[in-house]
Amino acid sequence: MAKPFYVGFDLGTTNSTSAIFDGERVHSVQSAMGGALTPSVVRLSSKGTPIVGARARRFLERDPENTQSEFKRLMGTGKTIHFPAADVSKQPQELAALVLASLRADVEQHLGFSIDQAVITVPALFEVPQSAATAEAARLAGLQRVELLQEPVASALAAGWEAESAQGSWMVFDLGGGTFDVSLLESREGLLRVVGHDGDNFLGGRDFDRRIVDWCLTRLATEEGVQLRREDPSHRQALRQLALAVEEAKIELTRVEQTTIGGAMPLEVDDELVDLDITLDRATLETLCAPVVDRTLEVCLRLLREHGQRPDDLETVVLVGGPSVMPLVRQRVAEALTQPSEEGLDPMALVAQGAAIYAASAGLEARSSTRREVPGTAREVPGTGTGEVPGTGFQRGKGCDHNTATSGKPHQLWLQYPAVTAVTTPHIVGRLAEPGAGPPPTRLEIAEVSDPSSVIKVELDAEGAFVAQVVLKSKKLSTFAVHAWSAAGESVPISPTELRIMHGVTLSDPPLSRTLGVALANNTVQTYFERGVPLPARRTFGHRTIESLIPGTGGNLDIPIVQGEFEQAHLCRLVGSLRINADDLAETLPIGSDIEVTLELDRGGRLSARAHIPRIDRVFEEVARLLVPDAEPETLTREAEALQSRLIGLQSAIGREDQRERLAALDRRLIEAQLATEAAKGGDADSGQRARRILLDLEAEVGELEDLGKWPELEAKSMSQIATATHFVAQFGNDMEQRLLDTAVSGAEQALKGRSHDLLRQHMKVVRDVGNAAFYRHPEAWSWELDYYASHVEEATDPKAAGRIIGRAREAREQNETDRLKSLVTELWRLFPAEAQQRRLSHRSGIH
Amino acid sequence: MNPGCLLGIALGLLLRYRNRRREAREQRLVAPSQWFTAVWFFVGLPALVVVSLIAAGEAPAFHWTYPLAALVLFPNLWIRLLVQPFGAIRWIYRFSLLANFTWTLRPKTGALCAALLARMKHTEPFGSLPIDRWLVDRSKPPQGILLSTDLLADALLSDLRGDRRRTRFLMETILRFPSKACGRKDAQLAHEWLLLQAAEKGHWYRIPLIHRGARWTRLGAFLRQISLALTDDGDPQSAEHPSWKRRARRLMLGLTWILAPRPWATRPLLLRAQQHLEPSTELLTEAEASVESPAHEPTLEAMAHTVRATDPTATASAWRKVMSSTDFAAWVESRCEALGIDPGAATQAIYESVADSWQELSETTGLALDPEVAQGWLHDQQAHRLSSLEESAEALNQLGEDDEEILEPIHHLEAWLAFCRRFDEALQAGAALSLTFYQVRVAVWNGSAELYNTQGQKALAHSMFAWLHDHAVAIGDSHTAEQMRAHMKLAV
Amino acid sequence: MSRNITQNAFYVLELSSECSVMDVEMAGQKLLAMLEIGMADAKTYSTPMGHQERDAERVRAAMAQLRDPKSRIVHELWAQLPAEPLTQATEAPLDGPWPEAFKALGWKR
Repeated sequence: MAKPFYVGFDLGTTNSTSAIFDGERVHSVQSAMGGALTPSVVRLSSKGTPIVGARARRFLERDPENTQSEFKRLMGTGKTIHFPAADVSKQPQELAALVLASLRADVEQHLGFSIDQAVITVPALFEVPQSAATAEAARLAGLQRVELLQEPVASALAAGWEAESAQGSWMVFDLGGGTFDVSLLESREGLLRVVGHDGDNFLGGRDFDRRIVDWCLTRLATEEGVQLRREDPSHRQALRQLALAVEEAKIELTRVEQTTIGGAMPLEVDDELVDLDITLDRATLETLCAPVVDRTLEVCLRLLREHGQRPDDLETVVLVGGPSVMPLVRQRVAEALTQPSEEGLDPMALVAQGAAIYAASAGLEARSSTRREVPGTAREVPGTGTGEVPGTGFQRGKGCDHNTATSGKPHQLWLQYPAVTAVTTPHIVGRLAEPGAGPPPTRLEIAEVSDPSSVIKVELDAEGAFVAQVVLKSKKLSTFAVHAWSAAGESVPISPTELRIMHGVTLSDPPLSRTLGVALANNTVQTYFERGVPLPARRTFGHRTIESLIPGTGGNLDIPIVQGEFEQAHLCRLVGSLRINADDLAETLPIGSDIEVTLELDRGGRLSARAHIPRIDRVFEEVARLLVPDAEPETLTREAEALQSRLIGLQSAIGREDQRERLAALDRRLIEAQLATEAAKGGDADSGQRARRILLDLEAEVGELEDLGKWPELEAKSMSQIATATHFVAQFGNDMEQRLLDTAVSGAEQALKGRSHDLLRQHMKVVRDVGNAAFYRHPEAWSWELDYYASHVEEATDPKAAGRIIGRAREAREQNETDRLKSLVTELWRLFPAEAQQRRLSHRSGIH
Repeated sequence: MNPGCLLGIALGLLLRYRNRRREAREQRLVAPSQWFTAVWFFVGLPALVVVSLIAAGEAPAFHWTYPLAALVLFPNLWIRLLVQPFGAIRWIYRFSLLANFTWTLRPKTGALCAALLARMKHTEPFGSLPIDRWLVDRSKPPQGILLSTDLLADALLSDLRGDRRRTRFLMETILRFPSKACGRKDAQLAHEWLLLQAAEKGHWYRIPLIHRGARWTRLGAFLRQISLALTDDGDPQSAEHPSWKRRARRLMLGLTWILAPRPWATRPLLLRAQQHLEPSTELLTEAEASVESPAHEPTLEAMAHTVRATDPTATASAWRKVMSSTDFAAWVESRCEALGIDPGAATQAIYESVADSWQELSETTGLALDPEVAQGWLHDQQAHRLSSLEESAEALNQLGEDDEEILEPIHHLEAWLAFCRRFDEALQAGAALSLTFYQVRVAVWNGSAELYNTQGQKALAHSMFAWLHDHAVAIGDSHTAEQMRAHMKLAV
Repeated sequence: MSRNITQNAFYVLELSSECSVMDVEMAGQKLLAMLEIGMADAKTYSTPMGHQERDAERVRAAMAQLRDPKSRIVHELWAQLPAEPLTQATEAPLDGPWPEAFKALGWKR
């Protein structure tokens, strides 16, 4: 039986890596150029020939137009990247596919056979469209079957695998080139559980570089008089050269105390050549980078708080990703959290290694196609390829058969068992799937090959099935031989005859990073999956259509799928949309028709959605839009301006010191968004996405502060209305109105206590209605009403007519004709539209 | 065959047909009645036959005339006797279509109702899935003024689809229709369905309230007695309860049961009601009481309430008792220590799970949870439900926004059903009936007025007035009830 | 029907509330495997509110809930009754629902 291999790929923003797991040990794969890292850089020559990795990276400085990096950050955005020399445009996932294909070639070179199944990692906070784009990249790279795994889960798995006795809570601090992920994990008796995630999709090593570049720009402006501007597209190449030089200097400063930022070629700024030569020492670097590190630590502390833990509770922190090797990061992590792990884990390779181990527990063997058929059998067990049972981490039966040559066609067994498990006494479950030659087996014997005395005997039940419990060798690979016997006690040929189980780590189902739901017409969200639910998951909810769909009109009905933690749909990210086109319908779908929407997420966060309309028994599955929304600089600028004026408004309204601090923090975030928007104007699409995210978060926070700001006003207004209503109801109300008012007032008081806007509004409406009803029983009420309208006569739609009615009403008042006065005032209402509307909401009836 | 007989039948049909056509043309509502046909059958037809026979000098012979006239003038009779037993739903539809052409304003919808009713009640069709699809294909959105038949077809289709809630709202709306726009059989069927649904869910208190528009029925009388026996005010097993009253109740139960349809099938219910009048047994069974639990007796009692799924308020009280017991607090503390978690967070999680179970129970039983018992946890849910309710009410209110535009009848019906659903949900979430009613009263009033005045949907508007009336009566608002009674007298 | 009882993780995994974390993994893995190969024994489980259907999704959810101590304690509370339907008398109180109502009057359901 050939040894199984499992492959994992870490498709990084800056660098990518791959790793292989052979069932016992895991190791990184060297690229063709040597070294474990493959830069995530792609160059297209003028003929359109792609060059990937270290060779392409060399062209980043010389030919930046035709050499692209960091396209991972644009995955799922729908942007295309243009290569002028070849005059072709590529989508980010196509470029990612080229990097994956290069990694795949390295692995195949190493193993000596082709691979078509693997696990690819994605950041935990990737949105649904980004995960979908990664899966598409894998398909383009020729991989037949892939599973996506969250990066922090992968690094935790690798770290957990290495750690002999990891117990308790620990944290994976994954600072990549462009993203930051942090995961809180818990390890008990070899069971690894991801307690929660947090992070920032737009925070990474690149932010260190950005700050150093900004510092360089200031130096260049003050010392050399050179004005390099991000928003100027003609300065783009010079900025790129500077960024590369900065990155090199930063890496060098992890070893030395001082270095020089300089490039191989001078910078070209406004047709002038500028030599780059700036000295940077470690202290300056750390001063520049400290705010970014602090932001990562804030995220870590937030995650701990969310799960009711303190830094003291952490056993260790595992640092992952290139930028995490900076001494400053290690030092600050030790100060704010706990001492980082010193176990010699390679921070650059950990993610890919974890992915490879996960591939084993998911039964995703690298060369599926060559091993799918069991030797000696005519065909596969019905419905059972080798591979994973979705979501179980269980292997299906496979193996070689030494009986086939002598005994004819063997009886085929369908086996289920974990390939890797922390359980020392796992179960093997199986059934007879296809009969072979000779009498059927009625009894099985399963024995560990190195310990023939450990025989376990099981009887097959009436269904031909069995459940057996075996004992594993601690932290080792156990191989079991399976023998079968007939009722008459004869040995029966079966297949498979051998299986392997590794005693290691069991990974629990990964939790969902962000809440996912469907946006409803009233701008609320129907949550389908709460953040933290174990993946995979599937859920169905019933809705109703709010408009009719008529075939032939070209209309359509969208069901937007949103991701985020907010109750209002417009604050959440739109990640896809199910669309029902009217023209696809055979008959009119009336308003209010039932519609059942099902959302399904796989373990790596890939989404599928379907809408079922019972009335016509049709299913719609076309997700019309699976893209991160566009971030056009003009729109971003407008949004930023609007937010700025709202923030200014809040500054005058807010009195409390803690809220002022919060406001100042929002101000800083807004400036950050504005800077990113400026960079987006210079053609940096990634910065545009970053600005979009910041503005969306700001929108939510500003809204919350505004609500808090309005609360005292609302409270005072409500109390005054309650007092007025209580006064009139006490004097002129009946028992029923009094009871009603009491209920509404107590509800309003509870709402005020709980600061619930919605509930307060509901109860206050009743307070006003009941109060008004009582008010109009006051003998003077109609007279006061008349005086009010007389003083506002110019606001009437027809002041002349209003004047005439007021005159007649005054006469009626003088003659004490109350009924006539009432009917004339009622006539007046119709001439005051705003008032008429108010009436309509309270007591107007359309029937006379 | 006598030419006088043929002439009589033809004349009867012609008069009937002309009458119906005129009604349909004028969109006038006339209470469906068999009076004209009966009078013609028993008086006009014999007279015509006798006169024609005497004129021809023959002796009167009715042996052919009457069976034929019965078949032609009372078409449902032969559909029921000759077609239905064979389970041929499609043929029931086709024959009913022919028959109803002369008898109702909505021949197709009436035929669909007949076929649906046959499918759901009277016969076992061959291959129900294709038949169901076929029936669904026959349904078309109603046109013109909404009649009870339109709603009944929708209700039966909803029931077929398993949407019991929509069926309930439609059946309730039918019962509130004015008698002129409501076929007697439609009202009877809606009455039967609502009674059975209340019984199926154990909402015995609702049975006496389901009566409007329907005449006395044997089933209604029986279930009313059952309801009285099962929801007796005060504890029926109490020693203070006079024994003569129990005996009288037993007697009435027995009598109405014998008169009720299918007495053998309803016998278990009779036994239950009789047993309910007997002295009770202990609340907890021996098996339950022997179980170890975190807070002993109180937890078991709360569990038993939850499992039995009867009264959400009683269940909520039982759980509150559990949560406030010292045994329970000690159990939480010891478990939290063992599991390494914060007791505060654990208590919160337990509290939420208990609150969720009340909510589920409230939804299952259809009984509102007393807000006094539920307290704060209802806050958010209530706000959400009330705001959904307000939106639906606003949709009704807006029926009057575009004064000129006449909308499709289905639009009105859907807006009304959506409102009914939200109102129901708001009550289930624990909102007080009076408060909720006053949130929506004006909107419903405006909407119904608009339907009546502009949209010409007088029957549906009447049903909405009746809805407002019933709820005003329920909360003791005699003023609104009086106004609605006046509206209900308006011409339909 | 209270989901706290019908979908209680201890009932789903057929474990007692005193079980260890490893017991949860072992029982979960076994049930998932049994469900995958379609063993009849795995398709239902018993609760005080009657027999329920079991599928892989429910088993995975139960495993996740018992791995998390905060949700485990909630399941412990709700798993106090033995995992078998309560007696007939308890299941059908006299003034409770009459599920056969429609059938008794000849409706096909």
